[in-house]
Amino acid sequence: MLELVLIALVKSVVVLVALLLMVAYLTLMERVVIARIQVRVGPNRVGPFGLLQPIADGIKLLLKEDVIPAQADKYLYVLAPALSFGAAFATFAVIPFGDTVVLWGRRISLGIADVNVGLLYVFAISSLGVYGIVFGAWASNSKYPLLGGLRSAAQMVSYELCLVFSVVGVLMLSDSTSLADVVAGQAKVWYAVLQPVGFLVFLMASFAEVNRLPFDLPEAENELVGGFHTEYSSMKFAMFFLGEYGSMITTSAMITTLYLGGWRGPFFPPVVWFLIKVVAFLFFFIWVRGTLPRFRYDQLMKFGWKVLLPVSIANILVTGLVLAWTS
Amino acid sequence: MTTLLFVLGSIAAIVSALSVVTRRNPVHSALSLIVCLLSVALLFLLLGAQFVAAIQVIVYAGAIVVLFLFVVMLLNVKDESAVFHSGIAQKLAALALVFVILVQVVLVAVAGATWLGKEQWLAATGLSFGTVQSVGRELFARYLFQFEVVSVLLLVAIVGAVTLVKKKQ
Repeated sequence: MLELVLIALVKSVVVLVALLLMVAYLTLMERVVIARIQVRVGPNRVGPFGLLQPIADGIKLLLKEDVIPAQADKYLYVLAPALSFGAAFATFAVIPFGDTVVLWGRRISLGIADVNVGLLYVFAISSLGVYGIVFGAWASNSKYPLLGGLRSAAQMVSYELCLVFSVVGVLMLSDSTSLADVVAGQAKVWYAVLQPVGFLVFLMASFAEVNRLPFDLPEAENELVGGFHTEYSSMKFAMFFLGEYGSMITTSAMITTLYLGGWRGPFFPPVVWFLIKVVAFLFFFIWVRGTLPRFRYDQLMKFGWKVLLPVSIANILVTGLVLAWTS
Repeated sequence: MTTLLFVLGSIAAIVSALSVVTRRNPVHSALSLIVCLLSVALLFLLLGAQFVAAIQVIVYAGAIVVLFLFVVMLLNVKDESAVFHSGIAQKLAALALVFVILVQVVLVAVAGATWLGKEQWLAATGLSFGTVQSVGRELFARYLFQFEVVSVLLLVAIVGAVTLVKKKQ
C-alpha cells in the first residue's frame, strides 16, 4: 500500500516538474518561432541562444508588485488563477506516456494512473477549466475582463460539445474509455487514419478549447485589452499563463494519445516518441498563431454549431454504419 | 479510508448545499453549487460508479453551472435580495416542501432497507452498477424504450426553445 502511494507520488512530482519545465521552454519556443515567421530575430540575449530567457521572465514576474483591484471580489480573484492552473495540469494524470518499464525489480507503468473512465476524466477536468477564466473575469469587476469571461463561457461550452462528439468515433473503435486501451488499439493503424474527420474536428475544437488563435476571443488584445486577465499582475498573471500553456501541452498530449498512436513508434524509446509527437503539435499550434487571423465572434459561434457539430455527429453515424457492416 | 472519504464528502456536500441557498451573491452561490456537485461525484466514486461520477462533473458541474454563471454575469446581478422579495406564504411553502422531501429521503433510507432487505439494494448487488459497460447495457437493452421517449422529450424542449427565441417576422 505504502509502496503504491510512494510510486504514485514520485510519478506525479516528476510529471509536474517536467510539465512546468516544458511550459517554460514552450514560451521561449513560441517567441522564437513567431519571430522567425515574422522575419525577426527573437530573444537571444539571456544565455546562449536566449536559452535562459524563460528563467529571467519567471524571476521578473515573481518580483513584480501584486495588485488586487479595490473593487474586486478578493476571494474569487485569488481562487481563479489557481483553478485555471490546476485544471490544466490535472488532466495529465491519466495520459499514458510510455509502456511499462522495470525499475529495481518493479514493473512501473509510465503514466500516473490508468483509470477505467480516463477519457471521461479528461473531459470532466477540462470542463472545469473554464471556471478559472469565468471567475477571474467576474471577480476583477471591470468591463473588459467581464466581456472576455462571457465570450469564453459561451465559446468553451459550444466547442466542448464538438470535442466530445468527435472523440466518440475513437471510443467506438477502441471499445474502451481507458486511454491505455486507446493506445493499445492503435498498434497497427493510427486512429487519425481511420478517423480523419473526427481528427480534424478534434484539432479545430481544441484550438478553441485552449483559447489560441484563431479562436482567442476571450483575450483578444486589440478589442479587450487583455481579456479576462486584464486586471491580473505578478504571479497571479503568471499562473493564468502557466495554465494556458499547460493546457496547450495537455491538449497536444491528448491529440497524440487519441489519434497518433500515443507513445508507439519504431527505433526510439516510447517516451521519446511521445515527446516528439507532442512537440510537433505544439509547433503546429504556434505556426497557426503566426499564420491565421482571428475569427469574428459570430463567425466563431456559427462555425462551432453549424459546421463542426453536425460534421462530428455525421462522423459518429458513419463510423457506426461501417462498424456494423464489417462486423 | 472509504468511510473517512464518505464522511468528508457528505459534510462537504451538505455545507456547500447550505451555502448555495444562504449566499447573497449569486456568483458565490454558483461556486458553492460546483463544490456540492463535485462532492456528490466523490460519493458516486466511492460507490464504484465511475461513469456516473464523470457524467455528474461533465454535465452538471461543467456545462449547466457555466450556463447559470453566463446568465448571472449577463444580467450583472450583484445582490439577489434586491430582486426577490420572499413573503411569509413563500417561506411557509418552502418549509413544507423541505419537510416532504426530508420525509421521503428518510422513508427510502430507513423503511426501504427493512422492506426490501439489504441484499436487494442496487448498490449492494455488485460494484459494477455505475460503470460505462453496465450503464450502457441497461440503457440500450433493458430501458431502450424509455430512453427513446426521453430523447423525444428533449427534442421537443429544443424545438420549444428555438421557437421562443425566433424573432417575429
